[in-house]
Amino acid sequence: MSDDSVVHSVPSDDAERRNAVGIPPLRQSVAALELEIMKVRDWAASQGTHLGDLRHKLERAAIDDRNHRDHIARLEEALAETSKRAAQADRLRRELESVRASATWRAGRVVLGPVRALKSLLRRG
Amino acid sequence: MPLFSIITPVYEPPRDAFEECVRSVLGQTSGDWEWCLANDASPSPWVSARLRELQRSDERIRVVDRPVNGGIVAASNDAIALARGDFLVLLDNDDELRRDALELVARAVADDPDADYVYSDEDKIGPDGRRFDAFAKPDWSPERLLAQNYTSHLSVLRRTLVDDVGRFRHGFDGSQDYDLVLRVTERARRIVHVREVLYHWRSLPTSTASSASAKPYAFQAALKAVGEHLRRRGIGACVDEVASSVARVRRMPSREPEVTIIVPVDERRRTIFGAETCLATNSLRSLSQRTSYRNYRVVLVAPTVLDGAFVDSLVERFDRPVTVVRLDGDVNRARAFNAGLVACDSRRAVLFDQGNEIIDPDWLGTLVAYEDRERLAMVAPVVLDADGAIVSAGLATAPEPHHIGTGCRHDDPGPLGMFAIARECIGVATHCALVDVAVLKAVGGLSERFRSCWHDFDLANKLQTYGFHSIVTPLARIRWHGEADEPTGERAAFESRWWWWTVGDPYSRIETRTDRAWFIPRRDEVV
Repeated sequence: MSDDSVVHSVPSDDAERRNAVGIPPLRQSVAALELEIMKVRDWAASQGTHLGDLRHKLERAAIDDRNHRDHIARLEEALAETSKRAAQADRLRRELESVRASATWRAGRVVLGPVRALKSLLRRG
Repeated sequence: MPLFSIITPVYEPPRDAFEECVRSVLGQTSGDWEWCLANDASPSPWVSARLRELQRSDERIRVVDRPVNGGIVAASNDAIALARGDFLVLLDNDDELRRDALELVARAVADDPDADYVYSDEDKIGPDGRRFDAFAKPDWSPERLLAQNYTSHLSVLRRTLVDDVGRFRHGFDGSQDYDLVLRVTERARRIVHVREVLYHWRSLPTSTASSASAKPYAFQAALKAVGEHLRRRGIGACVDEVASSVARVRRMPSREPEVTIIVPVDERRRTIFGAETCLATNSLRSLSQRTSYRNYRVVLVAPTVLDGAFVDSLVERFDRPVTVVRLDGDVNRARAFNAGLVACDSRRAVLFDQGNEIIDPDWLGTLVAYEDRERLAMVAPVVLDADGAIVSAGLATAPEPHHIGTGCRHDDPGPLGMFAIARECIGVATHCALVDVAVLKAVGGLSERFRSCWHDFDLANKLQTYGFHSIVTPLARIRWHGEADEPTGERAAFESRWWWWTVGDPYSRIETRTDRAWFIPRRDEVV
């Protein structure tokens, strides 16, 4: 360490006086700032609680959304199944109609006509 | 699913009670269990015969017959030797498990795979089969465990850990399970509380369920177990009995770190023991004359309008450094304490109301002795009024915010002896509280939006949110001559800030409100 640095490190009387005057207000400012920081942290804590609340609501909403989507998917599945069954029923109905319109069906009805009449008489008797 | 090994030492149980016990095990909704029973040479031949019959009827049941009676420790260890499960479930031979007890424990373990110790709430069954005395236990509360074996039944412990600590120990008969739990919890990674009554403890005239004094040797063994636990953890403390079967642990401070005592002052006067007295003068006289702790300094927080000569007279009472902080404008308690915390250089500070008067000279040392506890934000004494009644023995926020024990006599041990022992609570009153300065600054100190004691409940919730807890100890007591807060309509503000708070109070699940809770802002003040 050089002699110069020793000289520079010793504060002059003027510097001491300036420090004595300047430091207390600075300390007050620091204390005021620290208090402000505490207030901000308190505010942040309350916002944190709201954040927790919002996150909770968001999770609930996500669960509700998933449930709704599942429900819609199940409805669509049921709708598709219903349409499939309706088409199947339609096809069977058409087949039945074509069977009833055929010559074989009509001939069969004529052949079995007396049997039906006898059955109906027996039921009445 | 983990496999549970139910451990039951058997010695001359009442036959009906044993059959109820058997029914409760066989009826479990979860099938992942085995039952290890050790017959400790019961004189009645039916015991051995019945155990053999059980073993034949179900391959999950295993029995060892001891040739000679060796006591509960030897029998329990013999039963443990049969166990192959992941967890040991302790069940006495005349008690009962709830039907879904093991299923709920399995669920808790699935949620927290590091759980090494699981305990549940419990109740008692009388001779007529009636259930009573349901005990809604606090969540993990290690300070309370030093004074009473509150976890007791149902206890489920990881088998490997029980093997590591050496199973049950001879010399602790009657409190062998307490000793085991203390040793297991020293090493447990996680401790889980199932908030359901899973265990029904049969209350017979000779059992400790009916009265702790039924087995006085058990309490002596408990004191010994706690003493050894403290020694193993390197905590300097003495353990003694304060009430019937209530132990009290007095920690000895290992050193005297510097503490700053923050006292907001003004010229308020009150009649104390018939004499018109200035609260600040009385409080600081008591503080300077009756405090045996040496290493403390004082910060007085005064409004700028307060007479300088009066403040000087307060400062002169101390033969140690006193810092005076002047505050402009409206000074409420929260703002004054926050300003004091900012002016504080030490790691620990005491929030000290000017209405206080010292009762126990070693009050500060008693509070400082807890400084080695992790995640501890505040330690407080029990606050008494001039008549010796409790003003606050800690805070509880369930079922609604209140001070614990208000109006009870100072020598009343309270429900389950809780006023007589040091224990964790969600928060403490800031009438007098040793605080960790860094923690309080980190959570924003006391909220200045609350002028009344609501800032205490607000602080309690904030600390809980950040994972800190507080301790209240009856070994230090403070007499408080201040006035109860006027209703300020702040309950609504508190509730709007915390309405979503569903975690509740982990330490007060039993009713601790009293009829004389006059200090607490009432619900009818909601605006």
